[in-house]
Amino acid sequence: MAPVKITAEVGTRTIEVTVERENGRYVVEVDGHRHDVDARKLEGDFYSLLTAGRSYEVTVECRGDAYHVRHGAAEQAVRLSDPGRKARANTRASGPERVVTLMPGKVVRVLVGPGDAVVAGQGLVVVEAMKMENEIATGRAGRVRSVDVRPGQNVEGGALLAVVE
Amino acid sequence: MRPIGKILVANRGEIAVRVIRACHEMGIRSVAVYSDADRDALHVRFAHEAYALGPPDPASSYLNIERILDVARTCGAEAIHPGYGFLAENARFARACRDAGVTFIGPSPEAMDAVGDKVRAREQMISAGVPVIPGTSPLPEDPAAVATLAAEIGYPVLIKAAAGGGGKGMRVAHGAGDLPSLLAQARGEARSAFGDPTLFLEKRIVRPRHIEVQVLADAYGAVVALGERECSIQRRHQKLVEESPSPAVDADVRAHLQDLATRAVRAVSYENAGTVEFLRDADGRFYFIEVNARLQVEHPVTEMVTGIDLVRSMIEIAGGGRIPVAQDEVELRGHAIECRIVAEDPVRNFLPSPGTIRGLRVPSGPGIRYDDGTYAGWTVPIHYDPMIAKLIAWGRNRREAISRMARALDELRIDGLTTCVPMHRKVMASEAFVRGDLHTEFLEQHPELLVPAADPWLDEIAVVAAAVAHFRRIEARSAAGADSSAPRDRSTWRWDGRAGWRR
Repeated sequence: MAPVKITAEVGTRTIEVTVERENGRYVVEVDGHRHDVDARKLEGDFYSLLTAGRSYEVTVECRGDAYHVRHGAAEQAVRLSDPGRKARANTRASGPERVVTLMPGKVVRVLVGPGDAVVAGQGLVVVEAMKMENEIATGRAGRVRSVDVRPGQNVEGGALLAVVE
Repeated sequence: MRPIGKILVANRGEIAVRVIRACHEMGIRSVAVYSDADRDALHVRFAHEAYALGPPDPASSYLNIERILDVARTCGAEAIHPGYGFLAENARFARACRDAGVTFIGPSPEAMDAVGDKVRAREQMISAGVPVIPGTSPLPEDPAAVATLAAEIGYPVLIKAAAGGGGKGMRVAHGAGDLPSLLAQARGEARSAFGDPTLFLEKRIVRPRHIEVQVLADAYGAVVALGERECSIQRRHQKLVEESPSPAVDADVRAHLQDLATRAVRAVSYENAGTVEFLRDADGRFYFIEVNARLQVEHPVTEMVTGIDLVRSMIEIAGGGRIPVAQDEVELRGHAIECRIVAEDPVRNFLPSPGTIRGLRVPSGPGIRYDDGTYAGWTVPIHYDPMIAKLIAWGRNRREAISRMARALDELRIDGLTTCVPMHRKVMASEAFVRGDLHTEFLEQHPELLVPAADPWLDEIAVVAAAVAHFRRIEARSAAGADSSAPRDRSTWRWDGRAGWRR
């Protein structure tokens, strides 16, 4: 297979990466730094990586839009994309804000209604999961355009709770 | 007293597994109960018998007294162990067990009433000569009236649930403006967790250490204190790291604390295992907070340094047996630390992160104990507590225990969930923790421990690993035949996990 070029986002850095296979090993170039890797996929998400005599036992898990790599107790998320693809623009500062819950749970209270004026940081909806109540707040000030849940409703992680404009 | 041949474990998760283990070591038959969300749970697999309780919500399942007692009667269990949480400190349940002729493995309902109502417990401790924190009686409904009381005590004040424990229904108010919303939240939590919305206020001791004494008391009037545990590392007033002994307690202080704890439990004619909790202020003064009338989550650290199996002792005491040691035989050997493994994301303010455990590797080796109720393939339900496991390390001294814990955290892998393992690893390496410089605002004071460290070498390895995994995925796809997957493969970086793809 031909070498694969990708752009990796890790922490605050963006790195150009090339991967290819050579004689059963992987050659990974990270920002021009060459790693000659003997990689074995083991049980579950485990990999054993040997490179220049060093042994790394890692787990690599593809979750959502990132590869989550664990080495020891440390964890790092790596986002990979085609080279040249512009970083996703974050347009949240202006325009309507979709307030979502990151965790699944149950809506216990709705604190605002459509048309209400809200300030940045104000709680809109209270979601309960694992016995904890969490007030989900809006990141921006404005007016509530819609409330998309009602008390008692179960919500998935990522579910839309309300829109503030 | 009937001998105990069969025990129903009225709980779930790691504590149910822990109690079942003690039963099996004692040759006692174990009975699990489970909600519809827990049919596949480990405690059901481990137990000799298992019976369904009902729907997942706790009120219909693990808090359903009538149903649990029905199961006990039908299966012929002579005793019930409540674990912690759920019905563990519910006097009505203990009473219902007694009325049904089933032995409740824990204190009497009278002792539970005496310590369970925090307001009454305070009064009793004051008359027993045990120092307490300044506070109020049950609060009125009106926030304005509460504000007056709070101003008298002086901010910051703690809002606490009268029937509470474990941080449920607890909030900190820094000013009168915070009160209305915090009172509503605390009332809501107290009502759903304990069925009682009654609240009270307490002066907040700034940056205290949380130090508690484990006691055992039997039916023959013996009370034995098993040293202290320090549980100062907390989030939302719930403990995350516990250890025994406390780095702030020497032999003289220990003797003093054990004396206070013994007096506290004698004051309420307490029987079975219990914990007397204290706060220690910066000047070394101790204040009684509460008696926890149950087994504690952090009981393993006491077991590791005393060599006493607390769950076994509870069962023996409930069956009419005696405490296995006298006070002068109690010896704390070495040092033990426990890290609670919770399915929460420390980076996102400990947001609950339930999910499916894709892969699990449990650490082992010298001095390591891992208590859990999970396995690879298990989905952590959203209905219950986020604690999924406890990792305990023992060493000859604190330094060795810390290095073993750090090593074991590096070995532990729980894939598929976000947990606090990376945070624990950083705590073990932090200078302040190693020095023993602990207080309950430790994590707020060291926010750098909650987020991943900038580590260029780890980044490099992570990128290499992700790139290799990505390359293999593309290879596997082209090997599987380009035709069927061609439309998807046109852009190779779009992989299968599209459900979570966000724009």
